[in-house]
Amino acid sequence: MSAANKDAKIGLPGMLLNLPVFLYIISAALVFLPSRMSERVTMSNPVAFLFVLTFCIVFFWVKLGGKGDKRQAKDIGTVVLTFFLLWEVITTKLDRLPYIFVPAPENVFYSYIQLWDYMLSGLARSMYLLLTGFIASLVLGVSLGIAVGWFPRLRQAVFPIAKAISTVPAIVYGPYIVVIMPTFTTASILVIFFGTFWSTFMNMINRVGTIDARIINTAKVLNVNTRTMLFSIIMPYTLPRIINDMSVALSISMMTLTFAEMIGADRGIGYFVRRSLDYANYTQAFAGIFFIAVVITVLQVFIAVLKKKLIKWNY
Amino acid sequence: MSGIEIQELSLVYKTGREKFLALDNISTRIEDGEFICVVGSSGCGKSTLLGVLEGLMTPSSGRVLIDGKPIHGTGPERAVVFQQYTLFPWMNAIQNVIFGIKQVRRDLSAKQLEDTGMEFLQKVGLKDFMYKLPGEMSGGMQQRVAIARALAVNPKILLMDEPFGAIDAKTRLTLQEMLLKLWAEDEKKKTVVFVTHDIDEAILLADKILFMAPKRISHEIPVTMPRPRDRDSMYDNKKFRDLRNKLVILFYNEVKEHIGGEEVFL
Ligand SMILES: Nc1ncnc2c1ncn2[C@@H]1O[C@H](COP(=O)(O)OP(=O)(O)OP(=O)(O)O)[C@@H](O)[C@H]1O
Ligand SMILES: [Mg+2]
Repeated sequence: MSAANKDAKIGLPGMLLNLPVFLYIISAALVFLPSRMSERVTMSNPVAFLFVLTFCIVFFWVKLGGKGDKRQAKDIGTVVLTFFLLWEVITTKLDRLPYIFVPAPENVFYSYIQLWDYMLSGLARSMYLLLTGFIASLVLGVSLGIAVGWFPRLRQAVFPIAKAISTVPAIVYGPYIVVIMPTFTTASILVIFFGTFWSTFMNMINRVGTIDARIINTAKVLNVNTRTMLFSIIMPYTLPRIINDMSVALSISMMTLTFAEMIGADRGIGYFVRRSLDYANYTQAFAGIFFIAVVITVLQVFIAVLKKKLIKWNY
Repeated sequence: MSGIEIQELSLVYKTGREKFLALDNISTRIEDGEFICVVGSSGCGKSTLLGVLEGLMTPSSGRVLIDGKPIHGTGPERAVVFQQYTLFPWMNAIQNVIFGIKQVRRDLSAKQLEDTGMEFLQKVGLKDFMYKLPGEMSGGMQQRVAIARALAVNPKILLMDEPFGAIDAKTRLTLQEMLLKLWAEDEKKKTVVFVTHDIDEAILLADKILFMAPKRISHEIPVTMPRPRDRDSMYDNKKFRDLRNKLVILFYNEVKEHIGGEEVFL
């Protein structure tokens, strides 16, 4: 971020006279023009689509008025709104694509209004599986990794084994876990758990083994006991990297979850998408996929905020 | 018997198949309250010797007694200041100091810890920087915090391995003065073992200089100049100049031996 960018105060004209706002106005106006697609498909109420467009522009204004990079905000706003505009024009307005496969934005977003309770309960269910498996894997992987990494003999024995196991993706033996576990819930939590456990565990062992000797010596001469060494010295020292790895681990967990829901679930957002695809209801499938993207983004933003709050030092 | 006693101490580094004798049968005594400087050329084993005293290294043979008892590992009667990166980067100044106290004084309340932490940061002149992270402080300030942390546990013995080695000359003078003042103001003086390869620094600080030839202590040189010592007038003092010359010659011969007895011009 350059100084000029930071200091420049954006006045009202600056907020209103730019490409994203222009695109927003065009898209919103287009919604009210006659549609060709409506000759073949029942069009839903555009209110949800208008809401999404408005949300985009408000979010853009927030970013534009904020401290971040303004040019980046404009570029992203332009790309996103151009996408919506093209989508609206090509489907609803001109009907240039097979309407079954490429649904209109009005209909996709209206699905949320029609199915909100169904989708929310699916989300709750998925988040329950995801977060249980992910958090268990994180907590156990980090703490076991620290403990094993601290004792050289244990570390040398366990590290190669963990490394070997971590190369096998959990979804390879996922179906087997689904077969042997009594319920689908425990099975999918376990698959999600193993999806990230081995790599978290292995990375942690490695980090403890390669930690700066000066930090360890300083702690030793302060006469810390083993518990303090592990959890007040090594843990905070490695925290920045733990959090960095968290966002990768979260994406892997989400993938594993979607996979698990596709093989055996009867609810959840992954299941919602699969069932919509099975019934060739691409409108709902689109809605489900957007929904998943938004959920992951929100979780990733949460991790970024966590990192900013926790890590005030750099090393 | 009080004080530090080093008895027939040897240490061998083993790296793979290779063995390297770093300390060869060292014996000496350090009295309570003495300020000792260890000087010697690079690689002669100063840090290794201090490592044994710190308890971070185990001797291959021989032992170290403190007040008649052999040491095993680190201990609360000893505090250490290393050369660099000695603060925990995620803790601010006062948290670093408090962390040190907490490890040996589990009985103190949060308030007492805070007060003691503040007291010692004030002593090293950092009252206004209590909440700064190490990354936001200069090297000199970080060493001040490290000294405050070492002193705050009220150790009997203070071990310092080139604590000012990475600090610019001007700041170094201030820190030497500060250290001397803090050492002198105690009723019952701490025993200090201070490694340096700055001869002037050693003469300014020490009661006794241990000069190390590789692997052993070759000379024990008492520094009898009265305290408080003043750096500016010290250079006019004949005793100082004689001592300094003696040490420079020791260093010089040391270097000469090192490269095979050929004539060297420094
Ligand atoms: N971990 C190690 N393994 C093998 N040899 C070592 C190790 N640490 C030090 N040595 C060797 O032992 C000798 C003494 O090292 P030491 O660090 O004690 O020297 P020093 O007097 O502190 O030197 P300097 O003034 O450069 O700090 C050196 O020759 C060094 O190469
Ligand atoms: Mg050294």
